[in-house]
Amino acid sequence: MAKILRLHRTGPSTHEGWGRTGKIGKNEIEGPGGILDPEGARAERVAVALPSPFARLHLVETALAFVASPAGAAQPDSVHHRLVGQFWDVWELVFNYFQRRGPGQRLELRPWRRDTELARLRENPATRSLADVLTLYLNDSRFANLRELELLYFPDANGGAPQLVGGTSPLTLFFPAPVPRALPVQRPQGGGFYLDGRYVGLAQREQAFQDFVYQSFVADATLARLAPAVRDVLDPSILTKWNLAGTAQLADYPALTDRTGNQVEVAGVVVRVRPDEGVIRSSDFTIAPTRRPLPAGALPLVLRPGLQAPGKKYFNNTLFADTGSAVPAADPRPLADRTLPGPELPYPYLTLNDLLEETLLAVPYEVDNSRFETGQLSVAPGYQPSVWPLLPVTARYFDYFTSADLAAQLSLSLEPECVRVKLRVPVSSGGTIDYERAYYPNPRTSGLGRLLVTNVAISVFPFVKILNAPQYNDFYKVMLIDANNIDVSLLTKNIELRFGVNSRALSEAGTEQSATAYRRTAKTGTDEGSTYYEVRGTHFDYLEIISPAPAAGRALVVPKWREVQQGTKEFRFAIDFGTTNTHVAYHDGPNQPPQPLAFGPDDSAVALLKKATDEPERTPYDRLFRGIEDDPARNIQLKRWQLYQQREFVPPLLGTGGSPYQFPIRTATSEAAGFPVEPPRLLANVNVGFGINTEEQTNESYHTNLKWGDPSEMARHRVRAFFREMLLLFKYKAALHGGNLAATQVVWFAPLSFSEFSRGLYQREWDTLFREVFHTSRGTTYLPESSVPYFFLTRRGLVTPGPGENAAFVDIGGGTSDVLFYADQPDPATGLRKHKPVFSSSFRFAGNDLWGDGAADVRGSKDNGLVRFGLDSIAAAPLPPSAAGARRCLDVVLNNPQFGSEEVASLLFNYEKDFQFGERLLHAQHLRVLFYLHFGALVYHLGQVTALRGLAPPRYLCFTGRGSLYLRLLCPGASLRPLEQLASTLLAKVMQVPVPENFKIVLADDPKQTTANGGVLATGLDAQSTAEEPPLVQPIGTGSTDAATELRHLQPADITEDVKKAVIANVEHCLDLLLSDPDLTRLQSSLGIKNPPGLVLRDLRAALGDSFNLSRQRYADTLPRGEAIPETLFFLPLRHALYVLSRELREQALV
Amino acid sequence: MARLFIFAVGGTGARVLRSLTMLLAAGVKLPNCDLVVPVLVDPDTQNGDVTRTVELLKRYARLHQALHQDGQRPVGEGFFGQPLATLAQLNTAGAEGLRDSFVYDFGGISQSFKEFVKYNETSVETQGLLDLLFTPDSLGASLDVGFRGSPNVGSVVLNSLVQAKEMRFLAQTLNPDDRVFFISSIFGGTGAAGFPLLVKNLRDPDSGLPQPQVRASVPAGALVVLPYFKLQQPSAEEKAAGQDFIDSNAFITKTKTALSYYADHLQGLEALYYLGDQAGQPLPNHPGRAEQRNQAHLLEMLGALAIPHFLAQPASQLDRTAPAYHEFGLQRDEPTTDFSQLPPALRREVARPLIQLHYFARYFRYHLGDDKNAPFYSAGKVGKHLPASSGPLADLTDFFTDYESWLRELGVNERRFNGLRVDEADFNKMVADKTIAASAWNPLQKGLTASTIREELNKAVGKTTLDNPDAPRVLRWLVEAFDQATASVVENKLQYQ
Repeated sequence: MAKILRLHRTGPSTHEGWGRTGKIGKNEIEGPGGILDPEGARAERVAVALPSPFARLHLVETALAFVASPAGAAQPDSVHHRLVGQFWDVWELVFNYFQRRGPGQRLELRPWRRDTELARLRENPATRSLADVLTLYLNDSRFANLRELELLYFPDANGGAPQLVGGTSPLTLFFPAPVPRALPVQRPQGGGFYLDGRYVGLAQREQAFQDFVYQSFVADATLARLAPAVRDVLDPSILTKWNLAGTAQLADYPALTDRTGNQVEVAGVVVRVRPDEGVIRSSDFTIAPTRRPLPAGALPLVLRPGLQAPGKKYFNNTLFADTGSAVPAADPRPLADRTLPGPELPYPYLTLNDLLEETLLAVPYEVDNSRFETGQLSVAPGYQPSVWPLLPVTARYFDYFTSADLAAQLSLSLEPECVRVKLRVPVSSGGTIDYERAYYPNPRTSGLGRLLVTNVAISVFPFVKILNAPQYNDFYKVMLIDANNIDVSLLTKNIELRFGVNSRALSEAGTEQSATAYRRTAKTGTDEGSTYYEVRGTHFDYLEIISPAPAAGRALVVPKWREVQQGTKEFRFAIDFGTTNTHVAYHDGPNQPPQPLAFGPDDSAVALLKKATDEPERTPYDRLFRGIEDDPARNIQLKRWQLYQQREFVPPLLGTGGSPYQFPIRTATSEAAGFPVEPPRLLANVNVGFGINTEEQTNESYHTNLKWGDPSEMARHRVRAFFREMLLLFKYKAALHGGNLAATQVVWFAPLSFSEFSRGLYQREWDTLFREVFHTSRGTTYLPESSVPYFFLTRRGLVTPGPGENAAFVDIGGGTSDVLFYADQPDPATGLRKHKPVFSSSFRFAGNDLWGDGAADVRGSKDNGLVRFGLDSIAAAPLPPSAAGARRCLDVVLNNPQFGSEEVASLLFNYEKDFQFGERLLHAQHLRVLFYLHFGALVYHLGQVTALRGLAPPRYLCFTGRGSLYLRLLCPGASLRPLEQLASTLLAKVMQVPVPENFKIVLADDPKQTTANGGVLATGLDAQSTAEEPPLVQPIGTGSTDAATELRHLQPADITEDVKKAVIANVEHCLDLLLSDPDLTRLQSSLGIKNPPGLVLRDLRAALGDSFNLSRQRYADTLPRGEAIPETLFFLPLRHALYVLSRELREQALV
Repeated sequence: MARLFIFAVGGTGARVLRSLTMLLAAGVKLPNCDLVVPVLVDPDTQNGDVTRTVELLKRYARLHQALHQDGQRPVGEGFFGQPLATLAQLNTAGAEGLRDSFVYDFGGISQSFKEFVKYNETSVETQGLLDLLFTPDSLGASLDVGFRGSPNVGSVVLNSLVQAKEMRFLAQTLNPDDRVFFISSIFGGTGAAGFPLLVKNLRDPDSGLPQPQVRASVPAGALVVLPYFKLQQPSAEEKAAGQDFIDSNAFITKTKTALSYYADHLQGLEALYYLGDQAGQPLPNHPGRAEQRNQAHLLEMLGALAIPHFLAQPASQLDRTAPAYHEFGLQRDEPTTDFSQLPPALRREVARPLIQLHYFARYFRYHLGDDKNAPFYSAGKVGKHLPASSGPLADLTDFFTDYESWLRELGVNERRFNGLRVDEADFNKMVADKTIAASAWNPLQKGLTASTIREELNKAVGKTTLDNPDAPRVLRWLVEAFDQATASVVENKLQYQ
């Protein structure tokens, strides 16, 4: 026998030198006479002796064969054993894929796609050689069907990088990663942890896994072909047993899917896993939601501590038994990460704190249960609560239910010691699981809820939801008053609100839908904080109050929206926006009379969280705010809700119900301190200043004198905000009363003196806002201010001009008066006669020239004689106690340096009941000449203009506009006869022609309303004539009848001394007539005018020149170069002179 | 002209080639081979085994060249008779600018494997795959020390190099009557990986190399060296210090694994030669670089003998579909081996030339200095060239130094070879399996002595003198004298059969 130099111990052994033998095959390697590997178990590293990049895959086959061999049996701690152990570990891990609790704990599968990855490698020249070698070896027949390899990653519990544990293999189905670290997962059977390096054979592993492996090889022929090396190490007798039994089947083992949901396959063999035994297929405790759509994920079970449910199935077929003792009151894990108490199966469940707060927040007033959800509230007999609960329900409730459900499911019982809350949560078995908690002010044992009072006021505008036109539910404002400012140390902690709709929280940054906050008044030791939230693009289902210390907690406020269907009525709103006053009239159909815009208790645009008190003796407005008892000792105070509501938000009632506000209103805005430097945000940093005349404290938030002419951006923002809020009110009004919002019409006015350009700007502004608020492509309607009264008065039958009769309409505003003259003339087209406007005029001689502080730029002197007289006489005698409120408001206006005499006059007239300013003026004989002169100058000028146009004196002289109110003071009786005599006499003298016998003066009953009302009624009338604009006539004012010279356009520089002299001469002629002409002076006594003879004329004459110069200079300073003075010069000498005269007359009276 | 291309892969390949060179120097014949072209394949070009072999090959080539430069000495006969060339020397056209070296030029990879495959430029998915296929150690290891027992790494690296110009030139120059032989170990890194790859690329018609038909038809054989030694394992302290080492405990495990793979996946060879042995005492552990310079071993010499065996097989009897597998048998299983363990044919064809070489070396190193007055010495003007510090005679001197080292090393590790006793000064006792009978007291029975050889040398040169005694001619003068003299003493004195 020769010694053959070989390692195996079989084969021929007779030759010497090099001689023919056989191939070293399987038998020579691992057979009984195979190669002994006495040191193999001591190998420090797993050998990778295969000249292939896929060596590690081949290695598993080798290792399996070795372990199954006699040699392997003799060396149970070989590297091959370790590898085979890891191989089975990986397979079993995959098999138990669903046994890992949460999705975040499960193996992660990442495919390595052959074609894609090789192509990618080939694209890069640097990696092409890697592609080549991989391709070379993947061309091996055993890799031929491999389309992708799955890389298996085990997630890191601490969020670190997952560990690569192995991959799928076309040789053995799986192969382990090199040098894996032990996983923190115990083998179900066989001891130790996965990948700890221990060899645990298949036979030592869990029976379920063994059964699966054997069944797989019996039932899946493709697997047996794919992984012969694995099949060869299985126990043949067990394989036979399964084969004979014929029961092997894989239907119960679902295919594993990767994260894109694709079935995981290895070269055509489906990878199957143990069914997800942790899947809760059924439970008697599954929540029974009503909301659709529901949030993604499984419906949670509803559990609570101590729940007893005999006979109920916890999950699948498992009874609940005494699991209740294992349910915690709170579970900090996110719902998706939770495991069921007891079995700790991964499945979401809800417990007490998920739906009920630990703290119940209460407010020091009763919540209005007609507008906000209060649950089923009951009060213990005989108990009179001083605080009322907000809803201690979490926002999560709305993931599953609606506010309607809440009304049925939530009950609160108010008892002297505590508030008991019960939330009945419906579950799938038909019943409910009741979450209960009692809230005590000072809970003494754990598990009880805490009751805390938070001083918070909430109002919502608008309080409506249009069900069938949700696009209109796109703008809501919520006022939050945070009065938790008793404890000075907590001033920096503000209450916050969060909004939710359709189980979704609204974010600040949403583009379609959002909820943003504006903190307007900072919380201080003396001021409550005010914050205004804006919900855009949607309504909201709930708002969550997040209250910091001292009342730390959360509560829900769930509005019971006033739900309406959009109707068919066509509302028409007309707004007469004046510099000083604004009026809105509307009607809801062509044949309806116009009425001022108003909101009563039944259609209030605003909902207060607080319920109105039940005090029949009080007005509805008062009752809204009453009933909050400040009690700082108990940390209760909320005394200035009303003030903030009026100043910074929207008054709940307008025009009725005892509201201090009604249209026409003072044209004003209320602005936050930051408004000039911030983007304008309606009902945040700016709002309509309804409260201007009800402020009882000095407040600088108000701004008046709103007009377009002001070139500053802030002024435009101010006007725009005013318009927008008006339009929102229109929208709300129409929505609530069956209006078809898209068909709503808005009419607005501008004085004739507006340039085409200014009016264009207005039109653009109105249209833009209107389209935005009403979601329409239509525009608004413009009407010339002066033409409207004609329609109103003729429609009402107050003015009925006959053939050949003319009518003059004078609209006296605060700063401007407009004249429109109608004449009976043949129509050039038809030849028929009809009344049509023949000329118009506009000049700055109006209300403020009576009540204001003259033509000087400086405002705020508040020394107009009429006004001072009023104030003097009020001061002279004590006011009745009922006037105290009015007095405070007056003081506020007086103390406001921004305000002038006209604001004071406005307030005084506003509180006529309290101050009796008008009444006092009736008796002020020494001052009444001012009214006389104002009226006389107007008529004088009118006469001159009419004559200049060659027209006959009017039969009707109609006055509208708030500025015309003084005519009622001048002629207080029912008969206007004295006034008519004065006017007709004057006209006859000026025009040198007789005035019609039936000459008539018409004063609108409510002069400011006339314009707006006319605007409403203009609907359906001859729109063309309505909008028809007669020529604007602006004579220089010298009284000349030479149209060519008199109707020139003058620039400031054109006003020579000659012009001035001529104008002043004309004015002096007018004054002479009024004050010296016996026909006229005779009439003074019937108008209650009494002045020393000559005094007035003397004083006035002295002031005319200065007055003229003052106004002329003002035009020179402000009028853009090249522009003509836009009015007659006739009133220039009078404008300031009247003011000077008023002061003189008052002072002389004092002397 | 039939040529043999030998791919000696890795450290084992280099060591087998070292033994082959010694055999060729001794005059062992390579049947049917006009030229040997050895190509050493190892990215670890600083590997001690490789550099030593390369130097030896160069020296042999120079000696052969010097001996045959004037065409006076017949090629293929006697010491240094086998022609041997580098690839570049074949490249008479001078194309491609091949480096004149026996070492396959890898361009000096000094990267880590991870850098080599451009790990960081691959997709996350492919990075995951690479992490699954290779250990962090393998990925991080620097490739300039070979593949360190990781043929899977080697398979990737080497594959990217087969398109190098040397390989293309080789494929281009291949003739149908050439043969190819591969030498590699199965348990290391480089050889185990490179060998199957080289076979794949030789045979694969789509490899992109020239002459696919010729590549497909040339006969190819391979020596697969299984483990025959083991390495010392580091102490616990050394391991803890992170010292680099080769885990020879895994040699057998790896071998079995690789053999399983070869059994299924290795195709394209006509003949395979397996050689392995139970390991004796552990050898020092050097994981590559210059320190990897393992002592020569009997199995390497026996492995080298696979080459003449393969060349002796007639092409008609080679069948790739039924490859011929071979193993080497010794007569007996003993820890120390001599020529008596070889079959008669090998004693004749291998032992005899080696004994002759040994006598030559021994005499040259230890007795030539005494011969200054001998006729063969003076007639050949040998004294003018010895001692030599350069030139052919220096090469010869150095070669014998190498030879002696080689021979000494063969006797160190089991299974030891001491067929030629390296330190034996008595010519009678130099061949282990045949002692020449001699009598200390009988002058007529001196056996074989230096004088005997001197006389034979004088006899060999006869009355001739060397004309124009430049160094190459003096070399040939000496070599031819020793050809005859050693043949004579082996025949007549040793009477070796």
